[in-house]
Amino acid sequence: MNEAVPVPAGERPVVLSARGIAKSYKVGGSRLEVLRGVDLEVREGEVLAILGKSGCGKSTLLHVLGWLDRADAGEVHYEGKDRNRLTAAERARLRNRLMGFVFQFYHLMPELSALENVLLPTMIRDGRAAWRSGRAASVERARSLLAMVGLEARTHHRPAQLSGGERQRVAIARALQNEPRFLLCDEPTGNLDARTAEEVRALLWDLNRRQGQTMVIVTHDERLAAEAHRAVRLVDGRVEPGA
Amino acid sequence: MYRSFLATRYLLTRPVNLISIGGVMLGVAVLITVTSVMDGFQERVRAVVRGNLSHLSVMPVTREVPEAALVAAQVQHADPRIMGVAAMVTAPMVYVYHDRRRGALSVLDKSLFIMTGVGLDWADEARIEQARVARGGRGAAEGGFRILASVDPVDPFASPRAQRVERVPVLASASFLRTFRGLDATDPAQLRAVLETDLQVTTIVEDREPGGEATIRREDRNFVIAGVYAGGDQAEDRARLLFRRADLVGVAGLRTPWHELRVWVEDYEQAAAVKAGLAARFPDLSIETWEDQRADFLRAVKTEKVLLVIVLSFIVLLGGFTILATLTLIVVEKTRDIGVLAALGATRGGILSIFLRNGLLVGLLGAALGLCLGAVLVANLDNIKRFFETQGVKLFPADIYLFNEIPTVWSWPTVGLIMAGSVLVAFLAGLLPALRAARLDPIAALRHE
Repeated sequence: MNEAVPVPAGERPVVLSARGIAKSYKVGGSRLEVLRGVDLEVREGEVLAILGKSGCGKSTLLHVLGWLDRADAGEVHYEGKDRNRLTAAERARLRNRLMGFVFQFYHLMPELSALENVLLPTMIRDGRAAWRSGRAASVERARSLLAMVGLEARTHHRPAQLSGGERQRVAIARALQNEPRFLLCDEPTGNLDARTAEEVRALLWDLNRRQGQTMVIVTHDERLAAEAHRAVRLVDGRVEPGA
Repeated sequence: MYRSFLATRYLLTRPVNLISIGGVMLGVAVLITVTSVMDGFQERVRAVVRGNLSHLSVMPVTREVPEAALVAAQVQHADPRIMGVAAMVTAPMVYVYHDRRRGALSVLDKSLFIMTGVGLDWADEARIEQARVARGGRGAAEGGFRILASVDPVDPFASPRAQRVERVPVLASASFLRTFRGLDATDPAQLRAVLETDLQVTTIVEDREPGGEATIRREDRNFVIAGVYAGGDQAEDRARLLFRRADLVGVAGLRTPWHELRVWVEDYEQAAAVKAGLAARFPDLSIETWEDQRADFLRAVKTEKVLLVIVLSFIVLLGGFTILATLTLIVVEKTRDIGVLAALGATRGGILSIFLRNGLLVGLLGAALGLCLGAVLVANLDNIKRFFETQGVKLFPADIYLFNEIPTVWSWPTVGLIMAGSVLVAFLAGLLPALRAARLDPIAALRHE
């Protein structure tokens, strides 16, 4: 079990917890065990960094926490219930409403404008009728998110017309569009130069400080980890406390 | 909401979709054009094949034949849907002519042309024709005889010369006169010139002494051409001379005053029902629709059309394969986006639906464009034909098909069926790539380079 690192905000309630998570992949004829019983707790309003070598299973753990992937064994509890065993459709619904993913390579839809990319999670959430009635409010929220990340002038630009830092900021706005409970970031600064990485880092801290956004960040970036409320390290498929 | 949005966006941003849309469009346009030409062709061929057959033919099956007027009246009153009844007799004849290809003149150089004398009650024929045209029918194309020239505009058999020289008046067909006298039926002067001239034909008369055996006697007779007519079928017309029924009975020494009653009904759709009613009521009469009499030929034409449609449907199938190929390409290209959609909360069903909609949109657009192109083609077939003719390519030789323009029939049920079929093919073609997209593992998709 990892021990909670004391944070200035004091002891906060656990909102997402993983117990005994195991995950293996078939590689050729043999099985590669990536996660071997990971225990992890995410507390309300904290920034939790997950560190580890390349290929140690950090991203896999993030996907399991975000119900994008299903653990072979173990439980992922949210609001007192194990959500790891839900059907794919139920997990998709939860993911859409509770999780915001930010990826290393932004993963924006190239044929959509920045605004449309940000609106996509709401389009997925709403049926035709709900989308029509809530459209104005959804667009308004997307615009304000783009303004918050400093891209109000680029709402109609396609990803190809944006720089790497701008694309990552659009991706962050997209992750926030449905007001997620958790922001799950997979190497958010991994593909950016030092200055742009600094901007994105500042944006993430700002989000946490002002809105109390709970974040789990998988990173190589030692500075990002040092600034996190808490950091854990994945070694041999298990969590080691501290960083 | 995102399904339609992304399906439309993928459609608009992938030029490769244009190939699929083009494929479906072409298939639909070709099928619409070909079926409309085949339907038009079938209708025309039916008219040609039908010639001067009436809707129904009523023939006696017993040797003792009652008076035509009596039977005609009985048949006429048997069913209110019957518009008119006209009696007819036929008798074999021979036209002996000099074959110019043989040169020298001798008896052996004469050629024989076998003909049929057809005896009609012109007053009845004219009344039926009038009623048919008044109901919006197309006159001679529906089994009547069109008079091209006659001495008397009311009674085409009226001929002062025939009366004077006591000969029997006949109506000769335009195609007969063209073949044997080089007549150009489009020239009114030539038509007028042929009126009141003599025509020698050999009749074949059956002699039967009371109690004795029947013998055949030939008789060379001179008739007077009182008028020129055109029926529906040139080949049949050529071998047919029209008489007043009473004249022909006398000339050919016929023992029965009528061979057939020509029956017209209000609407040919009712012919089968009327036929069944008459057959039940008159067991001594044989009743056939004109289609019964030409059944084999009509079946052949229909089979030809069905075969052609089956062969051409492969174009639409090809369009389907294009959709399959391009959508598969798009799914591969979009693999990472599919992973992202899953991360954002899209379900497998939602992802399936995006690509199904894409295929369906391609099908709908292709079918709609194909409908427009098909309509333009069908409306301009004759212009296209003329264009090819100016280039020296004869697409539709009139001397083979007996009509000048390419006949077309626009049938909405057929067009609807073609469009629905194409959209269905497009939908099914999209199913495979869509299933493939839905089955992608989101994690593997996200890592896809």
